[in-house]
Amino acid sequence: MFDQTPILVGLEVGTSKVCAVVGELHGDGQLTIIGLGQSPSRGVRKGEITDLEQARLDIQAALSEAEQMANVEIRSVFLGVSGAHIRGFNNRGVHPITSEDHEVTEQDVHDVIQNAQTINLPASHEVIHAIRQHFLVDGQDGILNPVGMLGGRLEVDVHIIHGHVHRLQNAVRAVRELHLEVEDVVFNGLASALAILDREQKELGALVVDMGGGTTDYVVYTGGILRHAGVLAVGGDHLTNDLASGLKVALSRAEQLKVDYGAALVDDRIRGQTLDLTNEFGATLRTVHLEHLRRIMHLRLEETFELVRQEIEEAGLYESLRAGVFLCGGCARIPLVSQLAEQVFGLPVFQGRTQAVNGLKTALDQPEFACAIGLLKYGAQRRRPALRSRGLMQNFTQTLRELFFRR
Amino acid sequence: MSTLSMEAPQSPGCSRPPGETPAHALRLFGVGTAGMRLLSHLAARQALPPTAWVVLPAWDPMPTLPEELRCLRLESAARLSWGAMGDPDSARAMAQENYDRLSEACTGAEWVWILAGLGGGSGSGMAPVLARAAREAGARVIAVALTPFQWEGTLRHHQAQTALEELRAVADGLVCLPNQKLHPLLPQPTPLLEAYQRVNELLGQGLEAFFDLMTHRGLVPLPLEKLCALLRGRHAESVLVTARAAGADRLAVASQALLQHPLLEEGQTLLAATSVVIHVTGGPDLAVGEVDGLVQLLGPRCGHAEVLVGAAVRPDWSGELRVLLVVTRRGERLVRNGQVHAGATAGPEVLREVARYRMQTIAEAPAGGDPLDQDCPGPSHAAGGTAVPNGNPRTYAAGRRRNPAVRLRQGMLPLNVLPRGRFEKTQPNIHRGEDLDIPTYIRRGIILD
Repeated sequence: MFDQTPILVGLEVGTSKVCAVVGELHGDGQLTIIGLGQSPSRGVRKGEITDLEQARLDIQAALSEAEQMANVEIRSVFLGVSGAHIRGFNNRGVHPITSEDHEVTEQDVHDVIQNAQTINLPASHEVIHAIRQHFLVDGQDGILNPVGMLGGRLEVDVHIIHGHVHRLQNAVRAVRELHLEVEDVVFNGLASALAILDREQKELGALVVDMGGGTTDYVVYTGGILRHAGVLAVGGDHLTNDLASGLKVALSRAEQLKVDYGAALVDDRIRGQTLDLTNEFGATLRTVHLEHLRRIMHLRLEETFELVRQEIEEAGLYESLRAGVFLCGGCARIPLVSQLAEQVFGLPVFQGRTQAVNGLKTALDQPEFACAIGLLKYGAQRRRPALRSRGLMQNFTQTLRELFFRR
Repeated sequence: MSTLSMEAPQSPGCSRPPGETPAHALRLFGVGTAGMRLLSHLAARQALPPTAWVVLPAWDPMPTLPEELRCLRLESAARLSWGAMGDPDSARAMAQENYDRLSEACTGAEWVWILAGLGGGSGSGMAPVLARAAREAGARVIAVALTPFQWEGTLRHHQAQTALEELRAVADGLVCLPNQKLHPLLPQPTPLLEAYQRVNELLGQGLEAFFDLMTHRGLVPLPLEKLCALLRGRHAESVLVTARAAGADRLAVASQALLQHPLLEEGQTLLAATSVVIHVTGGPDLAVGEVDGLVQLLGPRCGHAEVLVGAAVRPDWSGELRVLLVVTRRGERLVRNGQVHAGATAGPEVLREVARYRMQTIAEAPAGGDPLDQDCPGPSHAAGGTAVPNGNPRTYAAGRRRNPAVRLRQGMLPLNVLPRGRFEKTQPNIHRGEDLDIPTYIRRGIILD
């Protein structure tokens, strides 16, 4: 807490892989990625840890690889979490301005955001993020920063992302057991959106769909602010499972078939084409139809996109997505998935590209790394205020405040 | 708009000259012991159509019946031992022998309803024959079949499944009432003797509500033609779900009971349905909000099903509320089964079945009374009632099939466990009533062959 090193680490414990990205934060707020570590994940199902010991080993492997590459010692991480238990909703907090001159101070802003977080959650849930959307001063809407304004009543709209406390703590424990500090817990979908969207796209309205191995996280930005977030516990694992069940092959074979021959659409050219499944000596065991393989994948992906679309429509945000849909996560690699998403959403669909990050550019501009890079950007945003030069007294009060008000 | 009219009473012995019957005549048959009990139960609760028959084999002791019911006892020329009880084959042979009497009893009816408990001898054996006789007599047949509890053993279960398949092939509409599904509704320490009584009560409530729907004009009426069209269809399968509540919070109680009803299988049944009829009956104080509330509650759970809503008001039902759901499914798989039955490419099981039929009919009813066509004796074929060109059974099946691939949903057998593969041991992933861990192609009923 007291030594704010310019090294940031984003750690994503995913269903298919554990990924750690090391970044260096420069004085001007620029971020350079200096290291990357990966490990296949074996202790996670549908975004949630099911085998703590295994997950710990995988995290250790990924972190040590990243340490070696970046040549730094990792002490703290920003941890990405996901899982079907994570939900998002909008809430409003109110705070009266009691000072004599009715000027809104930073303390008031802090208090009103605290008020907005006092909500009626189930006892087993805790708030992961309370993201401010708009302030209202005496009912005047659309205020982005009310500090210094005059008014009698300050309100704030926040988007609350909350999750099951024990399942969140499982991931945190796995990291703590490695004697590392978890600086903050971040929702994966939010991290991906931070990595992919630039300011203009956030203004116009964009949907980010991060379809990973075990979960599909989605986040909607419009007017520059986060409006909606959610998780579906469906991902690439489900594709593999569907294929294994439909083609009657083992899971490992299904995974291989998915990677080698999978696509999101069934085109006419592949009708009647077959694949020979061979054993290790090259003898043909059985034959599967390519069309069946594609159809099984098509149905699952189409359904998943339809469910996301339904959620967005129910939140009343579909009409405001003018920048389009951005796909990332491992499933964004599936051939023709953009075309399928265009059919389902009826909007332009793009492969998400990580913006405004320096270093290792080509190696990192992959849809799978969007989340981990987003974790770094989140971390950079969190730390930036601390890097501003402040007076000794201010620094001291800030430190005290952090001591008392941190979660 | 019309309702089914009840027929004028008629003595069982006299044969009626054709052409004198009213247009929508409904006739009820209770087949076997279970059918008889259910019918007596209904008779005790409300006025039945005057022509309600109980069909019993000769080996059953003569029961004491309420006077509204008439008994049709089937007799056999061959002396059947008491050991024939509980054997569907003997019962089938006996019904086959009395085929003419059965057809005569059905003559002139527009609709024939058959209540039968499957699994035992008489119900499983005689109900399909009666259905066929009714079809040939020109009536439309709705079969209401009870399937046994699981603890009644595999033999009865198997017999019930076979009979169910036969009925499905023969009847115009099949309403399936699985006893096992009603098990959770019984209180835990129910004595065995009481269990059947309680189940009969539950089923009786459903049937009573269903008859009300068919025979009474409601406040918000459902067109009878439409209702019949929903139930008809060669391979339609329906379930009846009722909930009844009284008092100030009746809407809440009834909704709760409906949602937790085991026959709805946590909403799966509604999602897979092709049509859902919601019928609300209440007293003069039936509020708009109650009907609206129910439709709001059930409508979104019905997936792509066609939802019909009806309401009726009874002057003496003040403060009461009864909801009836008729959930009908026309599975793609069921249609495919039907084609197999009608077509020449019958599976081994069907062939075995057909062979058994033949042996029965040749051995025990040799004197020309065999209604089965010797060339192509599929159960559905004989039941068609129309002349079928012998060499072309497939076009017949195709002509019968309505509107193929309206919705691709998997038709599910009641006790099927769907594969979740690698997610077998994880928490179920329920989203809007569907378990997302089950492969999409299975939930949508896509067949890969």
